[in-house]
Amino acid sequence: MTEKKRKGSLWETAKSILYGMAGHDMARFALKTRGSMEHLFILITMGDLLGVPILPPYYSLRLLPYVVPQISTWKRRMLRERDLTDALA
Amino acid sequence: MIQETMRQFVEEHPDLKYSFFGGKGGVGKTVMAGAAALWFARQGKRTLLASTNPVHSLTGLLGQDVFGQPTLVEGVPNFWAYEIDTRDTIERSKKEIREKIEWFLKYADIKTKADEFVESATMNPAFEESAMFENMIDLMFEDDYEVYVFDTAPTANARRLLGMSSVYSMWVNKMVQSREEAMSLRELLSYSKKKQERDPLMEYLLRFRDRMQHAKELLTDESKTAFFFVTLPEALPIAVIRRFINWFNEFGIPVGGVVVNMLLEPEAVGENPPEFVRNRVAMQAEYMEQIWRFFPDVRALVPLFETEVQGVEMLERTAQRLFA
Amino acid sequence: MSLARIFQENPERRYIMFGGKGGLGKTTFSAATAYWLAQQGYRALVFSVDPQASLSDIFQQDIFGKGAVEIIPNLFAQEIDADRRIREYQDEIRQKIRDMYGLEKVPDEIEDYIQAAAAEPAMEESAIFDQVVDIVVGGEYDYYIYDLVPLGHALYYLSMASVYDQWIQKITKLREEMEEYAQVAALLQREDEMEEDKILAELQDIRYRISTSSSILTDREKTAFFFVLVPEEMVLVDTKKAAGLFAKFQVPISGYIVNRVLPPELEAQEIPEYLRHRIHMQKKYLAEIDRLFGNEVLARIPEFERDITGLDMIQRMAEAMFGGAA
Repeated sequence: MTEKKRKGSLWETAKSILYGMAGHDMARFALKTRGSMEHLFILITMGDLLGVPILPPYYSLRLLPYVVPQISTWKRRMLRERDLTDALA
Repeated sequence: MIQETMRQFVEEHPDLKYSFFGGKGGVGKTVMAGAAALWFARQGKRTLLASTNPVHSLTGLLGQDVFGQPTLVEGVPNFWAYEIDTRDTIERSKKEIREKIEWFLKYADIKTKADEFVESATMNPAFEESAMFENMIDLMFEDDYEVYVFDTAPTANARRLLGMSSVYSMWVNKMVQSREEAMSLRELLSYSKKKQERDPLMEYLLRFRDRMQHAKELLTDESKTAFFFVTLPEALPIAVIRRFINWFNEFGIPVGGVVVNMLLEPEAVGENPPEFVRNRVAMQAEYMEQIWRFFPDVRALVPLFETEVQGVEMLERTAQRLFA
Repeated sequence: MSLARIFQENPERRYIMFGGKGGLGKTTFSAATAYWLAQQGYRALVFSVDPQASLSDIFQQDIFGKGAVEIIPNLFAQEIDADRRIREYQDEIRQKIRDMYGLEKVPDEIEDYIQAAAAEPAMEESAIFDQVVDIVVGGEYDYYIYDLVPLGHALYYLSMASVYDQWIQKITKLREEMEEYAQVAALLQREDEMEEDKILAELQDIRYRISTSSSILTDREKTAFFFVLVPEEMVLVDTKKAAGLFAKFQVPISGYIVNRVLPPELEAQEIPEYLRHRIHMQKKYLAEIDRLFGNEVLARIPEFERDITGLDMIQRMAEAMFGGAA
């Protein structure tokens, strides 16, 4: 697949998902969705870090090196964010 | 040459409550477990013979369907047999995991739909094995019987089954620790005066850890628990139980001793046996020397009978030799 | 049909497995088959996925955790040391983290995870599974003979492949979607080319390994699966049950081998009573086996006068299985 075609199809995807939004909002929405998926991804693969035993960890370990920087922020977010918002409310 | 017989061992361990029989596949673990259970029942003790083997054979051994619930063995008072059915336990723990994940996703405010991940998470292949272990310790905790005899899975499986309680504890401690960190932070950050919300995950983990600790206490209690190893006078089964005994010593699980099965006895062999039989007798003699050398705690020598051991009558004959 | 002919007529079946209850002689058959194939000039590897393996005892040589050991020319044997595999794997992960981020030491939080993960109940099976993938994907041998663990675990092992496959598929899909969103955002914000997603690459590699391994297990063209049984009632009952289970996993069964058959000529001799009884009992179940499995029974292997350890006995076993050394 050429780069141009790939971008083309992504544009199609983007248009269908983000139809009606302003460019700026679209970008924010896409990033936010991606961020949320990132958390889900780490939960599914590394869940036992938080005490949620989900899956056999053998292959999770292979992915671990790539998520090292995200782990502490993720852990914080997963465990604390709601309390912070509760507290500020 | 036996220093302490099975009978003496049992008499010296009057509180013996949990007996396990292990060894390489095909050495007669199920038969020995059945014979021991029968013997305990004959002593007037309320006895449960339970199979934790993923491929059960008690129904075949007793000629009576004992799958799914403890069933009184026909014609023998006090003797119940039970092939554990893991399906219910598996369903139950699937549900538990599902609830945990859903609760967690909600708690962490993840809006992405997670259904299919929940699905794949509950397909973890370790489920069946963990479920068997859970069922086994449930039986032990319920304490409905005076004596429990477990027909264990083939060695590797059994080793893991029992080793699991140590492994689980370590694993759960780690998880409890990270949940505790999270909890205390919540307390610090909580400005509101309302009572702390329950943390179901924490509760689950603590309950789980307590269960495991209790199981470990029972399994490593020398007065209550004994693991017996069955071998044949042949190289492979001997090698397997040597390794196995080392493992159990590492885990601190009490080893009750060794039972040698399918021994060819002079009376059975007769005066002038054919070459085939002479050769087998010679081979067995050779391995018996090894057995005496490797295992100071041989408890019984059980002969090869003229038929397969099946049914209560044959178990009775086996029990007489096991507790000679 | 004989065992030797199955091999001759299906030269593309290069993955050989013996299944059945524990203690019926699967490991012995695996070793003897590898021996026979090696004699035929094929490079054959027999490997054990059982943590309580017996190959060392059969070959009378300590091969545990030593990789593939050449026993005689063309005959290789391997016993997987799962604990060691896990330790090495943990070290690889640690090294990778240190290299990627230029760290002296793996952060505590991450180190805790690496250690806790290794204590997981499913870790040992996964490690063995992964090593098996390495072995079969390697493609260094003409024949791979799996010394499988007893029934329950063989099934467990088979189901693991399909579970992992589904798991990886789902995670890969999630990751791909994530990448799409990231690219959309990058395009909208007119950013330069995005960095390639290394996790996705890693996932795709994992998926390739798993599907290669699981497809072999259920591939009728490439795999021969033999059921081992002995002429006894309880074994027969279990074998019938097990054959059904294997069919559910779509494992193609190539045939049945009956082991420990007492030599019939003994009956004519003056023999002790117990033996006469046993021969009589076996006759009954042999007839039953023939009735149940008929021409799917590929061989009846006699009970030998001693157990099978050492190359001389293995050679005799190979002759009993495949016919005399032609």
